[in-house]
Amino acid sequence: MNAERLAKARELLEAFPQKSSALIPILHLVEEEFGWIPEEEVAVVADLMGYTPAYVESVLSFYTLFHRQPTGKYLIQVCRGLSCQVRGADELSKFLYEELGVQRSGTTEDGMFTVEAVECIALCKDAPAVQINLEFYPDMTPEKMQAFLDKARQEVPSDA
Amino acid sequence: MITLTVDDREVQVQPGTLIIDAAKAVGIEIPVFCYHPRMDPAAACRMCLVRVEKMPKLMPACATPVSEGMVVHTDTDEVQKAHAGVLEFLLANHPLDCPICDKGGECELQDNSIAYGPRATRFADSKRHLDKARALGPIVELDQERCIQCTRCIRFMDEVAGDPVLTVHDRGGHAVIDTAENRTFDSIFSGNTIEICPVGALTSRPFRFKARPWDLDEVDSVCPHCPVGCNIKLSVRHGEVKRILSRDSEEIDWGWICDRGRFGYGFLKHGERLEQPMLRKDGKLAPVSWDEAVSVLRERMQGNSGALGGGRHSLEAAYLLRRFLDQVGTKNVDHRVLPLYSAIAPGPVGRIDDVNDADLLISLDVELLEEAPVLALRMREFQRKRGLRIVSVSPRRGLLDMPHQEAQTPDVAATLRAIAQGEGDIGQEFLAAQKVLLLWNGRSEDVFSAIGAAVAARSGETATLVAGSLANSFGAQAAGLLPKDGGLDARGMLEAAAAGQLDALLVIGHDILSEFPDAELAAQAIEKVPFLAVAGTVPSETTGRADLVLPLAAWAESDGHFVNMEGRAQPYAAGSDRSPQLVDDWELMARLLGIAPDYEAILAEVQSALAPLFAAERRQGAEAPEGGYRPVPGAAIAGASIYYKGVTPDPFLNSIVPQTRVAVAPDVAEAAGAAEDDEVEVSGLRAALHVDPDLPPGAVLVRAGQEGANHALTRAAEVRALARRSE
Amino acid sequence: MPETRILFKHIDVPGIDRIDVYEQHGGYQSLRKAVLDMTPESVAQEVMTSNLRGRGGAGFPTGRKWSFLPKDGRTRYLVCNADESEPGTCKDQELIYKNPHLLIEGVAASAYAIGAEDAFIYLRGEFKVGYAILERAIAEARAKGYVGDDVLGSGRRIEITLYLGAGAYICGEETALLNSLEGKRGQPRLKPPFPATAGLYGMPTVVNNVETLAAVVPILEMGGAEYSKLGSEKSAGTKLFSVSGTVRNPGNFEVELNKVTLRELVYDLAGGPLEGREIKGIIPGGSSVPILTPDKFDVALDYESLAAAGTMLGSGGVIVLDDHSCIVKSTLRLMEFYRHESCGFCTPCREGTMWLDQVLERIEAGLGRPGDLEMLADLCVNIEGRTFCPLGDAAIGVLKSGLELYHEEYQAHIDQGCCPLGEVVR
Ligand SMILES: Cc1cc2nc3c(=O)[nH]c(=O)nc-3n(C[C@H](O)[C@H](O)[C@H](O)COP(=O)(O)O)c2cc1C
Ligand code: SF4
Ligand code: FES
Repeated sequence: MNAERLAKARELLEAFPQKSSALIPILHLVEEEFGWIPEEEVAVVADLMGYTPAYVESVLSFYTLFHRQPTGKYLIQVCRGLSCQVRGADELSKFLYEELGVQRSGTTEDGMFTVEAVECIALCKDAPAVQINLEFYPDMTPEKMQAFLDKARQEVPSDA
Repeated sequence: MITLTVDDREVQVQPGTLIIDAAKAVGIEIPVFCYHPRMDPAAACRMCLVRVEKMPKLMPACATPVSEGMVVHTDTDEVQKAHAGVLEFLLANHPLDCPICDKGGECELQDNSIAYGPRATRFADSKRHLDKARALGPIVELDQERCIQCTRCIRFMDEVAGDPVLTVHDRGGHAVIDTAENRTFDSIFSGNTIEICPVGALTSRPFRFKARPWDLDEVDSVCPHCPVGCNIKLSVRHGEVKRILSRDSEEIDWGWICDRGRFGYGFLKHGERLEQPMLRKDGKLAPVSWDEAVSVLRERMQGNSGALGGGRHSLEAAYLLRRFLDQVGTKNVDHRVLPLYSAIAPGPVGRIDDVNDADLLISLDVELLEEAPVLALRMREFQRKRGLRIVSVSPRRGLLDMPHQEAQTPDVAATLRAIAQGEGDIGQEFLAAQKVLLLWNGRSEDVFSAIGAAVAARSGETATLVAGSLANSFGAQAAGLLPKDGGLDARGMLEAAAAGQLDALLVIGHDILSEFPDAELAAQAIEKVPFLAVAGTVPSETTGRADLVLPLAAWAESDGHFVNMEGRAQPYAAGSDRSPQLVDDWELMARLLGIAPDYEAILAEVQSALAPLFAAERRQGAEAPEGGYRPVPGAAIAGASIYYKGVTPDPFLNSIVPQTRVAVAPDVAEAAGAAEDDEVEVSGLRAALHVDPDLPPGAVLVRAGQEGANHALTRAAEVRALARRSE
Repeated sequence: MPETRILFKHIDVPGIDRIDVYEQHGGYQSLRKAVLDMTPESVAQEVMTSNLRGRGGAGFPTGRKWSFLPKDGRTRYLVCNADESEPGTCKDQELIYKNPHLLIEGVAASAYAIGAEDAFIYLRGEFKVGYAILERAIAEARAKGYVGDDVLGSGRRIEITLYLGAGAYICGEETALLNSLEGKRGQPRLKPPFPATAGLYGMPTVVNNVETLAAVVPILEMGGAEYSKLGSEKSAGTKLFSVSGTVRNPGNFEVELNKVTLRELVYDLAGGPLEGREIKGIIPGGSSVPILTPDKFDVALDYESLAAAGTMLGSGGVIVLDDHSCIVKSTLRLMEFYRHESCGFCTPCREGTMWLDQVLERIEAGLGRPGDLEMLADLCVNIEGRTFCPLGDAAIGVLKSGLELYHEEYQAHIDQGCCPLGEVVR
């Protein structure tokens, strides 16, 4: 972790009535910085918390928002909850897989986009819904998705 | 008491009893997987569901406490369907490799399936595919496909061993038991998880594919490795011990054993053994008959002789040896070959069960996991359950692996005396406590007398236990294998021998050249003594130098008793075949004594002569013995080692023993210019360096049984850096 | 049939997420009243009188839950369950994102009532933006003395700490939530002990849903007795329903319990079926409850009436399926969800969801076999009521009822080897 996040992590150790509660918030800091949780960082976190890396692994492997593989600059999570599914989630994912040339859950070669089909994200009334880097995008369509991708590609040229 | 009904039978049990145990009390078995009587309930497998009237759902019997007037049904159609349903679920993803599974024949999944399972599975889709042979550590291998997620292994490591090295990774159908890549399952208790795994998911690498459970005979035995005296079973096939299992004893081990106890049997058939009596003739050892060997020894011992050893052999042998020495009139005898002053402390002798209700346990320089591992588990249990207070008084910190207060002191005896006078918080607590247990490593005379003073200072109940001795040290001492009436102790005998004043020396069960804490003296003694006889099970440097070698049956090949730290004589029975030339340890002594080697008669005599060791009452403490171990000032500290203790001839254990290390305090390392992992030499002992901040300044620690360790115990410890490994 | 907006009264007021706007609309008056004019016991009594029932799914009376806290002087905690992960439910999300001060006021007043100095809001990991919204709102509230060491000069300390989960439906279950909040795997705990006696860090703890705690604000405003007059005796107050799926106007609607029928909610408020479609089933209480066929749509929306109709009010997540929705595909989708979210701790849930999922997948792919449906039904029996926590029951809610109510549609998949509804379905 960078110095700033490390300092934040140290603060978190004191932020709860018991130190153990800091583990998940600290893992969020790691995920935020790297887009995933690299093995070395597990050791760093274990050290901070006074745990074994085994224990940290065991906890973090329970939660799906912690990635064990690098993710793209944009993490696009397409909701496949039932409410979204009956309103076209499948078509949306299919569009993304084709457009970005990835399999179910995958990252584009340039590291720009990761697509994941995820379980219900509590946006059922705005189905089909997507979240990108944990920001909600309600009422999505392939067209809106296309517009987003185009804009993202423009902002950051893929060779940058 | 609470009264309830289980399947129309009335049961009375203590409040807080679980339905499963209440049912068992009237002989009603409820099937289980995750439940284990020695661990907290998990209620994970759902095998034990029963109908409790007035409850909306079926209840897990393993986690539901009884209540007054409860009505439980364990055998209705509904309950039977639930049992079959859970089994069908478990079998859905279970591999069908029973024919090659080590657990086949004693698998709880097989047994429950036969008794409660569906007749056929309806599962026709694809099974989960996971790692079939994952080495968790040097001993334990996991078949993830066979695992049924009962979490017994995890709970054992968390709750019982206090070392949460096993965890669940991932979740749902992907959940697997594992350790992280960077931690191996290296607990000295790891083997217990294999035994409590209800299926064949955890297997032992030494035992894997060696035999089928139904081909094995089981023989009750007692572990020969430390003074706790865990009860064990030998699993024997065609006269060979194939594995060792625990044998749950309520008073001692609660069904746990350490890995040395579980795996230290390979030497029986696969190590080097002494095979036949040998007598030195014309400078060379040559086979002789037992008759000749016995008569030579008997004759040689008539003169000015002495005997060393007894802590590794049976009580019967110790008792008969004492008789023999009386017969030949020698007062020179000592079982304390390793660093030990007394195997029995003053004051009433404690019971391991005292940890259940003691208020305060003071550990006097005891390195618990190395010296009495399973006692550590019992202590932890009662610390976890009712907050047993533990204080460790020692020059070293970190000797106990459970929460405790450290009272670091260079002088354990002085500190204990101060405590006994009520000094400080600990002193106040010591005097006020209802019941105190003093646990000691048995090493020094000063502490022995301080314990005597401490016991006398208290009005409440006090009991003492000595760790740090051998499986039968208590028995050897109780049988009188100590110098008396001015007889020589171990050091005295060796000194006399070295000075040419001893005619014959008999050593039983020890390699004094590598074990006696003064190798030089031992070497000189052997050089000079006109006649050296060594009785034992394995060849060693000392047997190589002997004039007479007497090969004994090992404990697993013999009947006998060991007397554990509580002074409790526990029987073990022969399970393994032995080579025809071997004799029982007591048989050798009987022949020396000239009595018939009739085990029943000998045992009857021992039982009447040493009745307190066989009685139900608490044993009495010891008078101060004569002589014994005297630490050399400035020399290394004698550390214990569960894997090194004495000779470790077991081929498998030797392969997993951690590398030889000598531990030093940081200031010692600095002075020597050496760092962690560097190669160093300490008074002849070459080893890797471990810098241990828990050691007091200036301290050097060597563990018993390492090659050259006993040198370091007798000379001022100088640490010399040899090679740098750290860069 | 109009909504009865109490919790959502100001939901669409621009800027209501800022404290000054919130205060202009009467915000923090309830907290002020509670802390300055009432004892904690009398606040709790108002909640008891209101007959408010928990809105997180189980519908347990809130006042009674609070009364279980032992009076032994130990530290107590309040935990707000903002894990909202039940498929079909998105009411807490709208409330948090749009009107965060209402939740903060409710949490603070409830913490006061139960004698907790520390309250935690456990948000599902996906609510990262909601976390930031609440964080800012709490800072605003602190600046005005509504939370902090000395709330409104009363001498009472009330701190609110936010906590972000990390992706696990089971963490909505209260004991799993507590484990997660303690930094552990989100596995449910063995009960008893219940959180009221041994909850967060082993201390007495109350866990309540977002909507439940928010409702404490209007209860204090109008008085418990007045609140209890809304709805029916056993189902008092208003409730937020999230209507989603194949309707014209999906959204969150707040209605008085017992005064509106399911049909009115779906057909009037949510605009009814999409153009040219027909609604064939409604799951009324989040994805965990039995589905209702059109003949049951006139059921009143309250705890008892829905129970009498063979289903549950649950979390109020109303999922609508129409004639273009394949029942096999829908139940398969749900089973994939539960299989994915099973924590794996207990056998029937871990193995059962995996098995059901595989069979449904096969049937959906046209590879169903004779006997599959009977087997599915029986596997549901082997899961129901047998699992460690209620997730097992939740997993089979729709499937078990669906197998009975839509038997022909399932059977047709097996008989025809494909979906009988044809290409248009989802
Ligand atoms: C599998 C499962 C998931 C749950 N998810 C949630 C949830 O997301 N939000 C919630 O408030 N309650 C959820 N609950 C219910 C909680 O366990 C608990 O009953 C509730 O938070 C209590 O609050 P209440 O009394 O205010 O309803 C869930 C329960 C189960 C069994
Ligand atoms: S490995 Fe064995 S003991 Fe451990 S959880 Fe699996 S079945 Fe249970
Ligand atoms: S033995 Fe009771 S649930 Fe496993």
